[in-house]
Amino acid sequence: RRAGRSLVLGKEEAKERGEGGFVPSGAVAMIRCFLVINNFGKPRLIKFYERLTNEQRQRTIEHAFRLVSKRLDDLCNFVEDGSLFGDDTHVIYRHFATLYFIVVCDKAESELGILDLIQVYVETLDKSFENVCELDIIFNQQKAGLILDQMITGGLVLETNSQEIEKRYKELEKSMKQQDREASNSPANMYKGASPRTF
Amino acid sequence: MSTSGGYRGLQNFINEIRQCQSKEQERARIDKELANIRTKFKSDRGLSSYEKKKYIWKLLYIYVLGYDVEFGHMEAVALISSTKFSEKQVGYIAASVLLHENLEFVRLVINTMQKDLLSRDENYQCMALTAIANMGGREFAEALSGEVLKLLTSSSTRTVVRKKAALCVLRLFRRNPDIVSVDTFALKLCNLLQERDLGVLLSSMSLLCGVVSHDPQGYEVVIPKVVGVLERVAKGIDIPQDYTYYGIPSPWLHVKALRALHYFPVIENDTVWTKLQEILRRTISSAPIDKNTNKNNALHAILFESISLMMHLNMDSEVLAQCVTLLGKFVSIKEPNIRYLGLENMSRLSLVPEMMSTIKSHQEQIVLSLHDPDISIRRRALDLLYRMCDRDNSHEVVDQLLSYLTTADFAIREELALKIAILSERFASSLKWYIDVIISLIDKAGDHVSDEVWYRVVQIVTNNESLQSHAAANVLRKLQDGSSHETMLKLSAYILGEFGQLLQGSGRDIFYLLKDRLGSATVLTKGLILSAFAKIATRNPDDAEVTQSVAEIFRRYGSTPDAELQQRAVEYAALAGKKEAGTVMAAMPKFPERESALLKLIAAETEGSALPLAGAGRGRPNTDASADALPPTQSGDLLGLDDAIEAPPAAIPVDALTLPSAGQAQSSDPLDLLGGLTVSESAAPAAAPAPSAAAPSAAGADPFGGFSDLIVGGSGEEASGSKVQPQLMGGTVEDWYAKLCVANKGILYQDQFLQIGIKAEFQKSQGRVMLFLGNKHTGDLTNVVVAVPPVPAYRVQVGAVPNAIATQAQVQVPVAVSCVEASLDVPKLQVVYTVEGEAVKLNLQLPLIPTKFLAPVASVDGNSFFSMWKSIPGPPKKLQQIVQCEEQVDMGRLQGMIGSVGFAVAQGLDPSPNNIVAIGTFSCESAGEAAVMLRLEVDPRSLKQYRITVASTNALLTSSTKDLLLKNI
Repeated sequence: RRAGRSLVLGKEEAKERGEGGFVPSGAVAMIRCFLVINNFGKPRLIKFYERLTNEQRQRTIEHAFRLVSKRLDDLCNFVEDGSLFGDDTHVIYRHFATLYFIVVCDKAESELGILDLIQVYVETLDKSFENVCELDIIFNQQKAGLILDQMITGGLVLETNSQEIEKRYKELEKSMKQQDREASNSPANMYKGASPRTF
Repeated sequence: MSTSGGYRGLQNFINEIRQCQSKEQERARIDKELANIRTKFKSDRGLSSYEKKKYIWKLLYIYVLGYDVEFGHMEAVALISSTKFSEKQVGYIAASVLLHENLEFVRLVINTMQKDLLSRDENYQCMALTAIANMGGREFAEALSGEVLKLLTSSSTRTVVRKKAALCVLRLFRRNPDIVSVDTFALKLCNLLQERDLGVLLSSMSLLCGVVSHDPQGYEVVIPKVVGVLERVAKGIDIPQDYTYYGIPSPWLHVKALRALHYFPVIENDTVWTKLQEILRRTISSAPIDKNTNKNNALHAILFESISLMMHLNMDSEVLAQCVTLLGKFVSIKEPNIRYLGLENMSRLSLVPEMMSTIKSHQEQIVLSLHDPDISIRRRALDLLYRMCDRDNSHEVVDQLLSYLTTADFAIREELALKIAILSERFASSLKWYIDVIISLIDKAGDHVSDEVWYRVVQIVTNNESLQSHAAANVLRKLQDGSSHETMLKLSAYILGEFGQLLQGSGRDIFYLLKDRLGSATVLTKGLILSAFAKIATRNPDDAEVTQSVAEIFRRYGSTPDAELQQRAVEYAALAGKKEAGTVMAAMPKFPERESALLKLIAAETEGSALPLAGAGRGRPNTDASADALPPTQSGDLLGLDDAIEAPPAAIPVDALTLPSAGQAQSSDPLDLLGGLTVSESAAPAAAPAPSAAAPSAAGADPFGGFSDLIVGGSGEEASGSKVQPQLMGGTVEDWYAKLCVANKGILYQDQFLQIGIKAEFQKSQGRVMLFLGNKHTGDLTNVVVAVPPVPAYRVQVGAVPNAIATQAQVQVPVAVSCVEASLDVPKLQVVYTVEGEAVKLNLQLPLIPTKFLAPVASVDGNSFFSMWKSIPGPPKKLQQIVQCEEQVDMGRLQGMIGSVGFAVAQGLDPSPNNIVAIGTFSCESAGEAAVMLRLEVDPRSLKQYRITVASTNALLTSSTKDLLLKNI
């Protein structure tokens, strides 16, 4: 009667996708998605670590926002809701100024660990943008996304050291710029992969 | 401020979007941009590197805004294979977002990824690893796991690559666990766990967790290494400053290491065990509460994980008690996160029986949390109270939950009501208490109490004489206090009808209290109240005021439009004053003991076995009353066949419990009733209306079950010794039924004796179904009864059925059907006959599903179709699903099938030959006509995948239509 009907994936559908015959047990710890949504429900950064259709993604975003946006700031940072990804997952979020940082993950992940992870992400953004605000994320999707990639890979925590994350990002940025400069200086290195027709 | 892109066009685009005043304006701007980018990508003029990247970023921005981006895949693939770092980077990011659904492109990318993994540039390696881990496709597991594993273990891999490789391996492992073999991989993990770099350790620990959560066997060798890592972070040995979080050595690694140990059942090595115990004890005893929230969080993350591990490892109860004391402190703490987790972890600890008494000492505090402003915390408190409830504190806990029920939020009420019902049943100290709790529960939260709960109350009260007057007094008081919930009313009508006379002198009160509520009650409840009136009038023959009022009510309901109520009223009126009335209206016999439907319902939730209710085992055994055991053949003779058609046997499958009880319960056993009637032969004709009075209601549902076995073969022993075992021939009931769902002609059932065929015609909400019953046996089939128990969604009338079917003969039984509303409930068809002296009963389903009442819409113009289509926004009225098929979809067959379901395919509305748009009109009596629309898009490339969208103004209709189509494509 109260069976956790998944909003995003029907039971059958979930089984169908059952990761190559191996259905992950409830004990598998994984982040299902990382969402940054503003106070009006506009997504500012979205990262899904599951294959979902656009509709499923939109439903998840809307539902997650509805769940957290009605909560007052002095309540706890956890919401239980099985309708997003099933009963074994929960929603962990933080609200900073105009933005909600929302993680949907399996219950096997430490709640406080994820909360700290969000903190580290925001601290890292803050350092690299010098007082990060919503506009920074809007206009610098690439950067915010790449920094997140240095922290979470494939739904798992990769790095939690803010300095290391920032350092990695700076290196990336540097090599991009450097190589672009070299490339534009020497026509021989111009991109010659596909025919111009494809572009 | 550095902006990695710095694309002016992108900035302008974002600004324009942000200035849009409305959603429509935004969509228009985005459509324009998508068209622009599409043209740019298609143009013959090669785009510059800058432009390519800019357009991909625009697409990604559009993606984040929630729009479907359906192109750009090829461009992303091409960018990935670029030799330019920045292009490759953009390509990979785009690919992990855009390529999810598209296998073809994924294959194209694999080649490039392989090259990048082998590259000497660590940036390339990292990009490929990140993309593989984020996309995580099965194709990657097949093609790339070798390279990724090499990167993980090779000594020349740099740490930044190695930690990504670890997570990548885990993602691929989840796709296909065979990519590693225990024998070699356990040792490799050991080596990884000896790394000095904390980043590598963290991702290796995650990898270990993932691998052992699948199967820990063979990985025991890593335990000492994990404990080693644990010791290092717990004691802060060799931790670089960067890896401390608010002064705490990498709390994530600490938590992950604790978590990894969870997956092993025991720790055998004594030295390791001692070391681990020491670490855990230290954590527990040094649990400070810090002023800084972030530091506090990290400390508690470690603490909670440690407690959880201590439980898992069965540490001695002294330490566990220390944990509970600690948690008790947290439960009363101000910080909501800690309070929440304190309750959650206490719930876990409640699984250890010895902990119960310590946990109970915090009961007061936990009850307080039931009234916390945060629903997350209230839920946790409810869960914990539920778990800690036992015989000793059940009264207190249940009382608390009952008083919480009045103020509890809607979201939690159903769960709360169910928990109260379970606890009161499981830990009932006395039946009296149990009955009182349930009556309060129904009174306070009737909406959330399922029918099983009140059936159970009736069953217990009927079977325990000592409770009867108490229960009657209780419900009477509730009615006097103004309680008027429908379920409460049903229960009251039943209890007061049965046992009201035990309350001396309140017959008249009862009558007026019920009469006040009769007008506004639902049909089902009205039926129960009418039955109660019949009983009250019979038992108070001298109270002229009551008997006259009752007679007046019966007269009034004798012309009510509802057939069921009308019949009841007429028959009760006819019965009144007859000498059989006393017998017919006698108190119900006790119910045979059976498993509580309620407990069955929540079986999944119940840990531990439910305690049987004291005294509930005194039910009457099935065999002791000979009247009960009357075989149906005799009842058929008695009734005469014409009556029998309208009076289907009382054999209702147990699942009828879920049907609304249309019947009055006291006559749910017509056989019992007939037993009474057979006493005097002359009484039989006089009582002619009486059998049908009892019978149609019996057909409704026997809410208390337990009688269904009687009809089959008279008694259990007989049935088991029966020679007559119907054997299905030429198919299964499910297959026949499934075929008839999309066809109007075919076989419904066939065994060696009987074949049932169906031919049906439907027009709007009406249907004519002809049943063909063919006798395949060498002897006659006698005492044939065909019945369709009523369901709310359909009105079904079964025509005349001959008493017998001669050998090799076929008879036709017309069945008239009207659809009242769309429903997932299907009418049942019960066929009973006697062959070679033995009764056979068949329980079948009539293929009457909503789509049967669907008529094709001859022609529809595009405009009106699309405006209707768009007026239905989304689930649950518009449902969509993507389906993969084994074989290619045959468009011709598909169109035919859609036609046979009742749709008209609207030709030309969708120009693509691979898409089908169809529309039909569903008719029912309650809501008139409703359009049902269908769109089917078959993937033109493979023809093996399609997307189906069904829309209508009725969610039930939409989902049942979609399910039917999916089954048949």
